[in-house]
Amino acid sequence: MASAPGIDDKTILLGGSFPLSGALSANGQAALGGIKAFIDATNEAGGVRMSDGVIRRIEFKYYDDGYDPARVVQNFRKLVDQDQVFAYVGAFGTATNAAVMPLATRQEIPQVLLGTGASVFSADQKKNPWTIGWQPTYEQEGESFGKYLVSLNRTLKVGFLGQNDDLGDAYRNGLTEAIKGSRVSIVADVTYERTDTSLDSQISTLAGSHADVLFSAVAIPRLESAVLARMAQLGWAPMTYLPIMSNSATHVIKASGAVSFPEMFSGEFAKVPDNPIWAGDKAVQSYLADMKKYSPEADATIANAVWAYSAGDALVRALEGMKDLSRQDLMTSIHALDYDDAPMLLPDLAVNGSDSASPPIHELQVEKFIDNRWELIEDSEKN
Amino acid sequence: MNARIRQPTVPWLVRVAAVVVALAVLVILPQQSTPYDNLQITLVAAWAVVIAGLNLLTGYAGQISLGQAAFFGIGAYTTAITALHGWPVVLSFALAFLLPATVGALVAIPAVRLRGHALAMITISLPLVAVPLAKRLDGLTGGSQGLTTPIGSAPTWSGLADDQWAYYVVLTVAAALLALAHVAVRGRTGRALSLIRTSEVAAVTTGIPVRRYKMVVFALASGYGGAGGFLYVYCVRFVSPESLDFLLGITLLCSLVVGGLRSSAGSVVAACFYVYVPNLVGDINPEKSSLIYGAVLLLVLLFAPAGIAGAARGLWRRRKLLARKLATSWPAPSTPTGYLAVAGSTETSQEENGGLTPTRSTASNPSSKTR
Amino acid sequence: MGALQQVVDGLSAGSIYAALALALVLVHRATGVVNFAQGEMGVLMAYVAWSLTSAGVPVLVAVLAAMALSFPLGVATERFLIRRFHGQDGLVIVVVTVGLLILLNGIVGAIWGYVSKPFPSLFPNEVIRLGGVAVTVEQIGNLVVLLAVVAGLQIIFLRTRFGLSLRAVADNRESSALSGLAVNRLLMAGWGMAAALGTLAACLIAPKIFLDPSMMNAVLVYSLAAAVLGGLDSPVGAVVAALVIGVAENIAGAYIDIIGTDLKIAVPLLLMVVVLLGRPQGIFGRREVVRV
Repeated sequence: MASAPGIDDKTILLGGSFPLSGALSANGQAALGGIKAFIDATNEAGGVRMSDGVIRRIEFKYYDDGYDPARVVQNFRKLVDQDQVFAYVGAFGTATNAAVMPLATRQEIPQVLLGTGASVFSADQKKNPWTIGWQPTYEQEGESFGKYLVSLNRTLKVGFLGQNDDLGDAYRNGLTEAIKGSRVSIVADVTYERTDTSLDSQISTLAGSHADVLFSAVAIPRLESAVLARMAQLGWAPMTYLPIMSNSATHVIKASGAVSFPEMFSGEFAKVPDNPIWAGDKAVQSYLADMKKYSPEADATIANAVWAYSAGDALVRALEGMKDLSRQDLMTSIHALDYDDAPMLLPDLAVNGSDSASPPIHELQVEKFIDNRWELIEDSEKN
Repeated sequence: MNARIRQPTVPWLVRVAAVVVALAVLVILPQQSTPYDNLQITLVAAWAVVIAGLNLLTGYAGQISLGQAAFFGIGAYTTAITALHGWPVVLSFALAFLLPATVGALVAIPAVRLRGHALAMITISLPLVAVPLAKRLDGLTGGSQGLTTPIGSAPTWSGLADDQWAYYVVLTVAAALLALAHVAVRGRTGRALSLIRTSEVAAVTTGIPVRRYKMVVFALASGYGGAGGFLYVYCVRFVSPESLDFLLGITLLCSLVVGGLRSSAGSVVAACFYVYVPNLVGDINPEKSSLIYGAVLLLVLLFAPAGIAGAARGLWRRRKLLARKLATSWPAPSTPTGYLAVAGSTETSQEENGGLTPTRSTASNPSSKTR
Repeated sequence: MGALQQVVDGLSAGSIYAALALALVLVHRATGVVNFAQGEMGVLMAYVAWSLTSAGVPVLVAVLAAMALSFPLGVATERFLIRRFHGQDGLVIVVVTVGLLILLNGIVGAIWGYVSKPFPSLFPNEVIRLGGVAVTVEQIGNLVVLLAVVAGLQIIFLRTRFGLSLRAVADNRESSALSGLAVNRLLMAGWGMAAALGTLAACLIAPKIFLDPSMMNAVLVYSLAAAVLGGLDSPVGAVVAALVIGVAENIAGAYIDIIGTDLKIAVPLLLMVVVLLGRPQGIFGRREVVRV
């Protein structure tokens, strides 16, 4: 069987680019650690049995991009032209993946299961047939909490705090879409810059708006902690939504050092290992064991690691599902993914690659912070 | 001939020969190497233009600037946006040069009154404002996801792959711009700039229109930044606010100093440093890349405080002295005309030894046996 | 409460910028160098303080110990790195300090990782409410420490022989050496003091913005602006400028719609440009004498 570059009888060579230096390196290292842990564990267990009956090991090549688009473009070229990888998998970041997408399209290289919630990577699969995301988009997240607010059937004033870019816009759009025509309305809308040292001024402005709900779409955990600490100091306690990338009980809530907390909500699609409700969960235990064994340098409690680990699982399933060994076939196989037993994803959460405008995971559940841990809100409680 | 007034450096014929050989290699290279290598060399050329602009302003005129990233960004966005709207590529280039040059001239109106730290702070503020501005104007700039733009595709008649086409276009334009910058700082202008750099008061008293000079250099440097932005987008086809971060302005300055101030070759070396070192370091150990990068930067400066180009020049000078010492053991005439004669007769093949003074001393150099 | 709260928030942010600006001024005043790595040296030692507190050492002791350890770090930096570049283009020294910044950032990341860590505050976590305005004990404490440091520096520089010698060395190294001052020791002392002050700054800031290898990058820009605006050789000027910057950007960001919170960084920068055009030496700075 004629095969594409990167595949021989023993191995499949895959690659990715991650910010391993600079401000986003903690997340980049976690994302790399997650996918590497799953791949190494798979190799250790023998490898991937593919449709031609051959069992292959996965070799994963990666480079640091420091979140610089110019370096990520070089890394992509290096992986494709020099290292001859079969596909570009699990790469982290919005701007960095956006820089690579046109190259992937032109060179027909799969750029798949990406560590970003930007909708652009999955929204137009006619135009970019070689690219697909992984986790739910920021719009979908904003929408899911908006729907929850509407379901409360009360008049609610929302204060919105978001990053001054399309990440912030995505949350705002999703939220606005969901609350359209309902009794929920946005009364204050404030932005921040990624480089801000403190959001005190923003919180003072929002507190002055007397909103009942704060949608705190702060993408940097450190700054979200500071927001919670500041709210406690001001004695302002509206219903507060923490976005999925800044909802860590350890790194955000506990780290804030605040003496009191408002009623906090978030969205979730994965089992976060520092949540005690999953302490006895088998998948979580083997995840933690794999992380410790194969990626000890990455922090396993950072959500990016969990998401990337589950993306590693999707990758292996997609490889197993391939009919021939072409790059096109990998895309077909990813679009054919359809299962609800992914390790580290919430029970019964569907992974489905067939939606042509959405990443494979496209649903979240709203959760509430009760007794120092996140508890999923069951549909019955909503009313 | 002001070349005589300056310290004896590498003889001009040697330089010309080196440039010719380098050009020949660069012309043949993309046919042999991978698209990845081509991209890297293309990027070096693009950044060399950006850094050459900075070299005019900071190196020659002595006006420290941490804001070159902003002009690079204006040029890059201008290119991306005009190309998206299907404007002719020559027009894109002209705008990518003229728009930042105009902004540079406007900034220069207040900036030329300042020096040193005050000037550094004003220039550092340019990228700091440019980044949120680029994000806010997301209708035009695509926000933080950046802009992908259809530029730099090889025309079918050329028979080249895209990366080869971009390589030739970018290198040609960059070579022309670098040559222009090289010529611009020779002669009277160069002397005026160097006087402004060392003593503004002295420059004023000798009747040099200091402010006008500074404004022109500021505009030119900004235009080069923008042109570099054009070349960058021509091969990367993407620009985002991350590409004009204020750290970039600082990194560019670091690269310039490492490459060598006040040297055209230094700008190219600086661009090589800027493009290659982070990649090399990333290959060694991506998790510790900033540690190694910082260490490399300091080590280079410790051993070559005048930059790599400066150190090479110094080495050349020392070598010549060394050769002279050897030569004095023979009773040979050691006049400047002597070396001109040697250099002139060897044409391009002997560029390595053309600078050594008496004919007999070349015998002491093993590499001359290649003749 | 709105506007007044914004002023208080601005003063609090300003005191953060002021702490680092003071260290920058100290190094500049003592040795004529603007040290871009000043913040990062502080970060390294703040991590040391964090390690001490994690081992059970009380915060105050940990911070003081880290400051004490910073002194030799600063001395060594001057002795083994900066001094080698004496007589070089000033630009080269700037780039050397940038290289040091990158190196230290990498070292911190390699030792402690890139996940941000909470840092215990030197002050009790309490809030005082005056009318509708919330002021934390930490904010007051930071401001008091800062003012004490400024007062101390003023006394050292203006009233002691040591301070006079430091100023003389920064002003003209060669003449100072000729008049019998122990120039090298003074230079090292200046760097050591600045390093200790930078560590104090990082430890004061860390509870607010969390320990992170790159935590000082954004602060550095504001602090540089404050130091230049206030006059690079005036501790009082740096602190006043930092507080003005903090308040001005918050008020403008909150109440001038076209600026908004995203472009509020333009406010201090614009302020700086306007002031520098009138007084290139900064508000409190001494006019630079140009020699021919």
